[in-house]
Amino acid sequence: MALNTHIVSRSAPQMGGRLEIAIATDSARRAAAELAARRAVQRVDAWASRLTRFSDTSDLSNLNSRSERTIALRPTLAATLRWAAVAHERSDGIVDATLLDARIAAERGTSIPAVDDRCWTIRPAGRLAILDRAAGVRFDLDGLAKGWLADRAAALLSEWPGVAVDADGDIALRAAEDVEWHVDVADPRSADTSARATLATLRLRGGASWTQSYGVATSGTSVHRWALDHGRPTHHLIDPRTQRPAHTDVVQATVVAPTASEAEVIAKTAVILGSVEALGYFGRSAALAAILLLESGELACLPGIETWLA
Amino acid sequence: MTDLGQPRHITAGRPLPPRKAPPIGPGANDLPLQSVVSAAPTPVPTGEATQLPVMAAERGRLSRPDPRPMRFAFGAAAVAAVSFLAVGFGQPDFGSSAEQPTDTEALAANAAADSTGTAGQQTVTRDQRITRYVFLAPGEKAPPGATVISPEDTRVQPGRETSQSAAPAAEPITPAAQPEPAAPPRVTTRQSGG
Repeated sequence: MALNTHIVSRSAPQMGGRLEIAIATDSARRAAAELAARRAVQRVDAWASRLTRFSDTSDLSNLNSRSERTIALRPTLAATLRWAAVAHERSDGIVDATLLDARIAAERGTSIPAVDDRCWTIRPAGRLAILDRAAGVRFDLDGLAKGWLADRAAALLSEWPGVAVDADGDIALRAAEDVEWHVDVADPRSADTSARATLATLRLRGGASWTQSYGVATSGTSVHRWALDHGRPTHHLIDPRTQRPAHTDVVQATVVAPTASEAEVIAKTAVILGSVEALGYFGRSAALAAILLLESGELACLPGIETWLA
Repeated sequence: MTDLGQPRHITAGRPLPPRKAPPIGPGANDLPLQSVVSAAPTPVPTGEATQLPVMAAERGRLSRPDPRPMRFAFGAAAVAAVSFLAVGFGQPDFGSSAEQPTDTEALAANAAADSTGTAGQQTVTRDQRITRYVFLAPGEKAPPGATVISPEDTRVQPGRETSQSAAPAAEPITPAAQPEPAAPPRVTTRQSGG
């Protein structure tokens, strides 16, 4: 199907970033696509409002403010935490949702409160779920939730031939037959953000006779980076092994995976592990393609990256 | 001494009608022993004598439904199907681009005859619509309700015989200029704050 690719987009601030939904359609269905995008944004708003730590009334903030070790969770938070448990396992423990205190300490430059045990489990209980956690465990779902929300929003728009849900850089894409998306990988070294300098452009195509789903996520330490009072730079990606911001040779990692959730986990893991361990980790993961920007300015890519470049 | 079993009939000397045969069935044997049939036994009709067997036979036939109505229905359906196929094969090809022969002279003659009233002694009333073709001279206007055929239309030429001719040469089809393929939709991935 040849589309005139009218891009219908809706954007809204969410979870400290911005959500953008783009639907590729023909001119005849443009109004319907705009309505579908608007509704998807509203649904994501509702979900995000329960998962953000930037709101005192969210389910996550309520969970973090309570001291009970066993607590019932509502469906949205329960589903996100279930994915967090899977992500922890698939990343060999690198992606850890219990590092809220360490992250806040890194943002403020304060010392990290001692937490002996960060173990937690979640078990179903009808529509709800029961969380069992060690004392003092608090959760940070910002990165995990973005990829997860992007995938769910894309699933809401599954009837459209081309969909891209960009949750603050974590993108869930759907491409039907004859649909092709171009994904620009932003160059973080460009001082002029309006020029949108790119490291590479990925080409994501639909299946021969089916709709193909992709996830593209970029994680790095060069954009969300700040200097503490005494000049020590810091950023938001916490290494669970040290509970401090990770310092490796990877400045930015862009990963293509079957879903945005997986791409986000793999990209974050690659940044925290460093280039050598990351290239080995990619082989055990669901990564389809990966581009690493190293501190030296070089690009390291997975074999076969040529098939993914536009 | 009167014979008690013998019925007494008062007649005018005429012979008595033959006594009816006793009924066959329950109680048939209950007739008095002295019943006498005065005349020769009345031949029993076949149906009566064999009433029970006939009824049994009829019951046997009724137990099986009569196939004739369904045979008639199937036959009628077959005839209808054959007729439908015959009409379908035999109808003219309306999709053909070839010109249909039109006997314009006959139509013109009829039109003239109708107008002059000299159609001949044998007037045939037709209940079909007659199309008149009138050639308009330059400047003339078509009568009301008429369909004007442009001079360029060579399908019908009044006053000329038309015969099935080859379809007019097809005009070369110029493919419409194809729009340039639209650029693929584009999005950008960048570092997030999560």
